Amino acid sequence: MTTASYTYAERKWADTDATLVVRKDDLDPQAVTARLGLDPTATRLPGPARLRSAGDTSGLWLYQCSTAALGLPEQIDRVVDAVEERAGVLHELAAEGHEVTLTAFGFVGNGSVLEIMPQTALRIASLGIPLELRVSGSER
Amino acid sequence: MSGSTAHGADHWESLTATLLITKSDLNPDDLTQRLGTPPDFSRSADADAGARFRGGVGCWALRTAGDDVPGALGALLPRVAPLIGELAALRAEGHRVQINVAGGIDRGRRLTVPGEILARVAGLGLPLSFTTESAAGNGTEEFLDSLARPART
Repeated sequence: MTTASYTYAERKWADTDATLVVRKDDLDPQAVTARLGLDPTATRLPGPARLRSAGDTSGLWLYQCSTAALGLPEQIDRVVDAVEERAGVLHELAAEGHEVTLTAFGFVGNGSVLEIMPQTALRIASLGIPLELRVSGSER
Repeated sequence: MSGSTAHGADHWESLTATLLITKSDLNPDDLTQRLGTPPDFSRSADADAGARFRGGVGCWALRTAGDDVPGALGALLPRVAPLIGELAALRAEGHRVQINVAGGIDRGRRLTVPGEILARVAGLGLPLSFTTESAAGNGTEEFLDSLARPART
């Protein structure tokens, strides 16, 4: 347990995005697009590439909301809006060995807070996939 | 910050889960009496008006620790569930009530939250927040402050 109790000034995560991530070593992005009936915002074919670490050769299918005018909770809602009717397909993909997550990303410091209201939490839970938080410092 | 996680070196460390109640005129002793359990942390509204965390606001909190989100919240939620009726009354009176998960991000940048955990907290009707803690936050804070500042003309 930490010894300090609430000594930070609260602030929001910055430069955020929310992304449905489908990952698999032999992922076929076009097949995922067809099964979800949804165009991705980005895909990556499996295999080595110049900008990837040597061990990262999996394929990716991404549906991302990074609209700057929205906060991260609203960006999450937008992604859920797009995929919640396809939750059954997400379950199938996960059962077939795809790693399926809803990822929330932001730049953070000490005391950066992401708050999710119960309605949004329930909508994420209804997808049957985990929420993955990923953060970065300002080193960019 | 020390400690490791049970689920990988790249995850947030030293996780805590907190039932956090705050209000400008919160009296910790009154809240302890109403909720029937002592807090793990409290601060009266006038104790530290210049506090960086919600300065001038009183705090009352239950807190648990765990190696991952299910572990930390799994220890906290059984303590919160019996209080849910009184928490609803406190919210109606203007208290801010939330479940907060905090962790250190200096050595790990990921945190996985299973859907079942999201549903369990949502079932209590409470917001769920995630707070990052960093001992090396000065540069980051300056960067974030610069984002928050209005653009100069």
